[in-house]
Amino acid sequence: MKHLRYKTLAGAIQLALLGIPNANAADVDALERRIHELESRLEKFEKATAAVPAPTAAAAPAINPEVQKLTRKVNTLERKLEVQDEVTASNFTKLPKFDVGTNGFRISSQDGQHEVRIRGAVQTDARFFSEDSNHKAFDRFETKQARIWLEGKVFKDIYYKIMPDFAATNILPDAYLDYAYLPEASLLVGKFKPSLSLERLQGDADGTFLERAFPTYLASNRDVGIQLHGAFSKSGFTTEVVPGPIDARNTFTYQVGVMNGTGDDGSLDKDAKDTNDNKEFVGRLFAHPFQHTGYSWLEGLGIGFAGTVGDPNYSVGDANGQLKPQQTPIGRTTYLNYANTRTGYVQPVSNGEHYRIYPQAYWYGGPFGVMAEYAASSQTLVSTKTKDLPTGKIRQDNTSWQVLGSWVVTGEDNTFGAVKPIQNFSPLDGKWGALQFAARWTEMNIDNGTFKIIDPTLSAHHATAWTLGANWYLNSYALIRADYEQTSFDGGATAKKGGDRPTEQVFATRFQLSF
Amino acid sequence: MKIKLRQLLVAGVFAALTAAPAVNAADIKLLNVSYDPTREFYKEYNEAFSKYWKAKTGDNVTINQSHGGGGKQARAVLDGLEADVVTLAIAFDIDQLYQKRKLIPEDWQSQLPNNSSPYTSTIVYVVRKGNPLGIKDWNDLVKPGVSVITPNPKTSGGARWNYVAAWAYALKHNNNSEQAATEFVSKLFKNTAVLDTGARGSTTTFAEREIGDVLITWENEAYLVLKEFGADKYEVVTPSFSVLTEPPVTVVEDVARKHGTLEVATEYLKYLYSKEGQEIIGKNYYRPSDSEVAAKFDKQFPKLELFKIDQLGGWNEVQKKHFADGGVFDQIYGPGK
Repeated sequence: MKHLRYKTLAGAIQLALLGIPNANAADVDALERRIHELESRLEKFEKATAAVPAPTAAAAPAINPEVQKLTRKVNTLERKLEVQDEVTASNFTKLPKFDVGTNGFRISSQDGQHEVRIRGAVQTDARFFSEDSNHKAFDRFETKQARIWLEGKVFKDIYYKIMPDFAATNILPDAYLDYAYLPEASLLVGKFKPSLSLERLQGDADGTFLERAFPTYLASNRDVGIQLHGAFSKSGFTTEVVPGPIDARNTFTYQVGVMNGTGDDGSLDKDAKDTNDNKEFVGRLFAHPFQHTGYSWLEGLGIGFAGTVGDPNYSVGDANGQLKPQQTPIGRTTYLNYANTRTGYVQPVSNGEHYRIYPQAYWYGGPFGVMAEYAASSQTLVSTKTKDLPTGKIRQDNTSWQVLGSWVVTGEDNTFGAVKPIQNFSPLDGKWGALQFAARWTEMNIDNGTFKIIDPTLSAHHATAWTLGANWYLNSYALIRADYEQTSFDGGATAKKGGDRPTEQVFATRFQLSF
Repeated sequence: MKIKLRQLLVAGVFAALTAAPAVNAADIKLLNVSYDPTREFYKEYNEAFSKYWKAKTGDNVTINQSHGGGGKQARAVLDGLEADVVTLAIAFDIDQLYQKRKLIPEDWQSQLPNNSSPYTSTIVYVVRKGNPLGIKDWNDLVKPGVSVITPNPKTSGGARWNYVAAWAYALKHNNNSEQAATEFVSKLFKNTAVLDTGARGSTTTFAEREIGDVLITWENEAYLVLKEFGADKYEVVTPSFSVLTEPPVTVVEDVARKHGTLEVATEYLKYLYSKEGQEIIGKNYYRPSDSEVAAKFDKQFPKLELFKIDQLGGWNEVQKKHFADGGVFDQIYGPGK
């Protein structure tokens, strides 16, 4: 028993000394020896005292001064340990909290006012094209994304995200601050996804297929600007603070912003500067009208409307004003290239009023999910021409739509975010993760006026794609996707070759890790 | 769908339109963040103030207390503890609330009489009955084999008063030699058995755990030891020379404004200067600042020579020189020193 006490004391003192910068092993050893010596002496005295016959009731027992001294020393050591415990406990309450697990990797202050979350995503793809004897596309493996980023907050309500992508030409997709003092009114500043296309706003790792559908590509990819946004909840429910450009949690949300305007599917590179004085105005309303109503199958219904209006005035030859090529969703092959003009024209730029409208909706109920979106982008393209050719200025009205459905066959909830498997993949334990099947139909219609400038034998004016996909969620971080997509075109080839660009058939897979 | 903001707006407008002068008594809560040994005093004072305020305004005021080492308490307020008032051991700790977070005005110390110190006190010793080691003055504490109990100056305002009293004594008896004073306090802390985080912890160490030969503590705390643990077991020793401690008080205006308690918090502190407040102060062995009340309690406080912290340059100077990281205290106290 005494030996145990000695050990406990010595151990605790050692622990206490560990917190003292100048403490060393010699100090600890000396202290241990001293305690041991004191304990031995105390033991001898106790034995000696026990051997002495018990005093009579009348005589007060004399306390040996040496025993008294030793007792006081032991008491002192015990008290020192108590004080050290108090100090240690107090210091622990000031240490930052580290959280590593299924919720990611984060460090936050004890008061919760400051937080850094380390996040990352890797997407490794493979694409295989069939019926492609003309080699319009190449079978390939590629790294689609290699991102590691920081997000969090400082001083309670200033949120931030800094996300480089080492696999992309545009190396800095997101870099923004969001001052969310009130959930009803937050100010987002920096580079982020403009609030337009529903599917574009969905997390890059959260989509149902490897790539988004056609409507996404009529919206800007990323843009720099300032956006006021906020959310409201049904009476009696707390409105959540959801920083960043997308809020899929609250009952009603709005976003209004002013951006540079980067054109359809456009995004300025990290150090590129806008060369257009006229800015683009963006607005979006989105609601979950049945949230908190008790109609469980309708609670996951979200509907919204978004739009932009701007008046870019780029000069011909300005790279910022040139439109990005349009590509097939999964195959990522170009079917409309604005650089391929008719003879006598140069590559057009956007110069004149540009507006877009985006009605959008989704529904998620249990394991099922549906998303639908329509897009119309109307803009003026200007090109220079030789004297004897018709106009070099055209109005282009492109439209697109998509509808997709998905089903998590293993029973997990289907969501706008990522599916969280009930059981993580562990085959030896008979656990297989979550499996989702999905199908999509999407179409893109390019305004026929476009082909007054663009060569119609090299670019298609209509594309229709249907897609089947399967997603295997190994756990909440790892995912394997497999998609088959077939895209048919109207136009895009000479009459000799049948007038239409050949149908594209692609099988693609992705291994994704996102945390 | 009903929107929360709209409801709030409607409710706000309705409330504004229908608001009538309040007729019901308000229930007000204050938090007094104080240093370690004031628990008993403020318990009694808070009851008195609540009665006074109820009689004056009809409102019910409840004062919650938080106690700990003065330095630690100041840091807690800086870290977000929402104190309506602070009543700490030294002005330097309160001043940090202005210096670091502007929670109080810069001239906080001029807002109440006597540099916002409603009472004074001093530092004395408690020894075991019969004073077996014959401890009478500071030089007795540095003798080999004397086991001293005092809190840690890094966390306790009272401990800093203890330290500067010893330092000033050494200067006085060594022709103002700082080297001699450094050696003196070095010996004193070598004799220190346990460094608690606050004065109350030291009392526990000395009186409850019966560790050490002498406890250096506040005068009021010394008499509390006699009352709580028995005058038959302990006795108070007043040295020939000590420090005049002036624990200050102030309203944490930033917090009180947010809580809507600015008026009551201010009155709470002003009441300390009233006859009633000063009586409670005297009863609890603090030295009243009101001369009439002080005269009434004069007999319970022995006479001794008292120096003021200004004689060492004031608390900012003392803090920087002695207790800041790398200061004299760090140089003399630590493992192996």
